[in-house]
Amino acid sequence: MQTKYALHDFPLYQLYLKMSRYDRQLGHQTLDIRTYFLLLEAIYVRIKKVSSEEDSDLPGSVATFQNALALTKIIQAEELIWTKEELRHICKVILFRPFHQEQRFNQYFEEYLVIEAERRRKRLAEKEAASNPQIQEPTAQAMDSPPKTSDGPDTESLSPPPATESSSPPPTTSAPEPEQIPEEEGEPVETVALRFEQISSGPQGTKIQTKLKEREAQALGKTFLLSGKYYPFRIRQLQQYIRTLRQLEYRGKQSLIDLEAAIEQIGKQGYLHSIPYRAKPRIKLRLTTLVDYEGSMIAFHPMIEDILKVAIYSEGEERTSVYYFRNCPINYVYRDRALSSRYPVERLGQEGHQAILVISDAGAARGNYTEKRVQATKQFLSRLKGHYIAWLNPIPRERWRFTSAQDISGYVNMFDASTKELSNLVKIFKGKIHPDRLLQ
Amino acid sequence: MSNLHFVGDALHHPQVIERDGLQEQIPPYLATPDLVQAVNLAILLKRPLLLMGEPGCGKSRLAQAVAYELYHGKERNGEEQDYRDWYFRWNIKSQSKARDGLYEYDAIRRLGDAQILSSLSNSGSDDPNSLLAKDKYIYDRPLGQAIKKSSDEDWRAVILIDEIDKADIDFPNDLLNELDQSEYTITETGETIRSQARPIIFITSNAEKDLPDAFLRRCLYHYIDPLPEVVLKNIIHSRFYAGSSPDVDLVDKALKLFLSIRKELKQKKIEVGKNVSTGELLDWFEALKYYREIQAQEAVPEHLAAMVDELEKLGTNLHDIPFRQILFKNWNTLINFKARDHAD
Repeated sequence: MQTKYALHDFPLYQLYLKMSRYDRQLGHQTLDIRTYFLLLEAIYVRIKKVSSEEDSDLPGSVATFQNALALTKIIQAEELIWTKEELRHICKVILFRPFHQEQRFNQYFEEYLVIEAERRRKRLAEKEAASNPQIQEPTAQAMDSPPKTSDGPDTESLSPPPATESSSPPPTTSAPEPEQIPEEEGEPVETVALRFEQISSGPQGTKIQTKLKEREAQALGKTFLLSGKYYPFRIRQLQQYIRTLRQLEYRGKQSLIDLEAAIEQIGKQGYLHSIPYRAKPRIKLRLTTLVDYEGSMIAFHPMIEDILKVAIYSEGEERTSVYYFRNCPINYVYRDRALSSRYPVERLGQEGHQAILVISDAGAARGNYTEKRVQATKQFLSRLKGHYIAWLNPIPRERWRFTSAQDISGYVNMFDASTKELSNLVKIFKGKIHPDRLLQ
Repeated sequence: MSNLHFVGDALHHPQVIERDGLQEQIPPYLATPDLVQAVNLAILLKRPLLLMGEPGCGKSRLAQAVAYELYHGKERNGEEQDYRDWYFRWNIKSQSKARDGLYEYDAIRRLGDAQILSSLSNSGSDDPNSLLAKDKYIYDRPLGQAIKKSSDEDWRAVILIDEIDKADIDFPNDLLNELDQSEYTITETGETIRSQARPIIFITSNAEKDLPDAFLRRCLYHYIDPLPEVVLKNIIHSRFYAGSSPDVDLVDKALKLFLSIRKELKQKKIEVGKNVSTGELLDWFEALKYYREIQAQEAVPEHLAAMVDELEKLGTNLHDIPFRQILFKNWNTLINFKARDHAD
């Protein structure tokens, strides 16, 4: 086969790709290439069963490119004799996950049908051109009619997904043109009004807010949307990293029998006098978080919220281990966001060898260099000497130059909010990188 | 290719099976076509099927229905099979560890036996090491049993792992190996148990906690939607009126009220927490039917009069709901809920 493979030759693969990217946008990794092979397998076997051919085993394992190609050829050559609903359900069982939105899946599936219909039509046209003109087979119609009847209401009822796709919902006409094959999802491109306020989290809230803000943005010109879904790192990734900090601690109710001690006792005394107990090991994360919660950090409040919720509180860390401050703590940090209930900085440093995570822009947000801030921060850090301190800066590293952050990053290990840097951040806590030494 | 295929028609009527003098009643199970297809995909592709849905939608009963249809009464090597030999159930608790489902090693008992042995005067004929051999203290647990039982492609045991989200978030990840390949190793003896075929695995979750990605990658997923009216009616008929003619009036009124309630609660999901489900409908209907039959008697016993009077509420208006306590599990709803008329 000399033909080059273009993406539109593989509509099912496109469907898988879209779902996979959607999955990643949500911060998950629950679909991989094996899922796609699974889909091929399922459809292939269905075809074989229906066309009641001899029970042929699937070509070894599907997990090679050759086999996948072979299956795809067979699938694409066959008339899809079942209903659109059945096919949709097969795809759903394999590609859909509990946290996905059904609307999105339906949309992608409709797009798939359109592409598939188009592909078949093209194929048919090619065949006809190659051989003598023949009666057009009904296969093209069979694929077309389902999309025709249900395309209209289905895709119209879909509200546009939150401001991240540059393509509009697929054309609902019954004659799909090749140029309108929906683009693959790229990086979030849309721009909407910037507001320093909390946008309600959750897809519903975001959608409505997005719509309103879109209109405002049109009036204002190009601006940006603050959305909680598209951070430069994946919250779950951070959660995974922080989870690796978990330690087993052995305090608590003595509820388990201590076998080791029992065996020792018997070894020494020759009998078991009384059953020794031990505490059940509990998993405890020991991390203190200090959050800069003032003016220039307001833009990052949703992100901080998410980090706290997903990466820290979910690990059973008590809320008392998160403290807030403004710009730079001098003598006190605060237990609450209103900065009203204070807690002395000395006490932070008292228990030995703590892991401390500081979340602050260190002056990089405003882009200024303030000597006062740098000095104050230095002093504050020196009070926490001996502990493992990691500083998370939401502003990208490139923007630290000529700001206070650049200086401060000379005194403490500072990381920006990208996945790569975050993986290093956690290493600090594990003691893998000496806390006083700088990272390049 | 295996011959295992689920149609969903074996349990349209209640079944009674008997073994060793003990009877077991299996209520009917009606699966929607969607569900049937999901089951067959899971069987075909040899992946676990993750089921979610509202509590009471029947996800935990599916595995039993599948095992019953596939194996009960089938012949193998001249012997008629009982589905209970092919059906295993592992109820996850919050403290569950992956190993608990595979096997249990009773170290304490072994310790006790060792003590007894050493205190008894030993004639020397029995070798203490063989008496205390570790493998004697290994007890098989459901998943281990299911794996062992699945000897070939046409005879794969069915196992239900119920409420997997109750356990720690890491728990599903501990199972990955066992889910992927049908084998596990007993650390105490070093033995590795393998089987020719993989068991058919059903996993249910109430979505109390998130499930880890690595685990989700390996599963197929199906959400059991609330059942439509037609299916509910069939279920009531097959469960309560098998072999007799249904009380059409009662069934219709009860269903109508139930569906109104369900529709109403759906809108208020957040305050209410949990919508009414199939399980509650069936319990509720059982009460309705029971007291209806008493009502139909000539003389209603005095102590039951109040209960029978409850029945009067049915069908008069939709505000009064008889036997509320069966339907509503939430205190607020119990006290305050009033159904509205949904003419649809």
